[in-house]
Amino acid sequence: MQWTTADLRANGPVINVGVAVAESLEQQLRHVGAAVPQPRTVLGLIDTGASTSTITPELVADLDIKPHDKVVMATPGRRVRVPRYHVRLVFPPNGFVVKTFALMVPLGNTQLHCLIGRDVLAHADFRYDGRFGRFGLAF
Amino acid sequence: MPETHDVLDLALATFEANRRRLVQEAPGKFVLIYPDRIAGVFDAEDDALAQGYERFGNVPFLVKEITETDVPIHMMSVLFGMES
Repeated sequence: MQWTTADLRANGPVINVGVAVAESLEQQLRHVGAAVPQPRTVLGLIDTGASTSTITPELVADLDIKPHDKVVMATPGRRVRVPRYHVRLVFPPNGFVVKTFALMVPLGNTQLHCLIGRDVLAHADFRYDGRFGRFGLAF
Repeated sequence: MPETHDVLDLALATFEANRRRLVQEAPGKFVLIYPDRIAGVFDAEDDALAQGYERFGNVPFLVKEITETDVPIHMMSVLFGMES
């Protein structure tokens, strides 16, 4: 799918992405008759500088998911241990699903709740055309 | 029940206490630990997760690849508003 945005340089390649609990968690919740949290649609930034996708603490709370590891995340100038969550990312327009492990990272004072990293891009064709303010993501 | 991150820290401490033995016995496989007991070793990460959800429910159990050291995940983005 291709998007055209008025200010690609300022905002970056931002798309709506669905975030859902892991399939194995959904199956277990259904098995015990518990409610399955509905997938949330949030704004995500396609970030080629991120080796792994991230989600915000607010999204983690909304989905009521629990971490299954803590990993060392190295950014320019610091290293921190952050929790890791098993999620599904669902992409428009056809609902392509990527099962991945997302790190929980606050994204500050932005409307973003997801960084779409190279773990997702490993499955995709991502094109960025700054001349015409458009980008494309195909699976 | 302790808080989420306390439970996960407890599981991580159990992993570290057993890492050397696990590396010798099952390198490259995935261990399931909750809260401080090794519940199993699996060939596939998905199998360890499924077993964790089935046995323990939606709680912070640990699923970790058995390796000699942890490799940091590199993030060049500087947007993060996290506390160090």
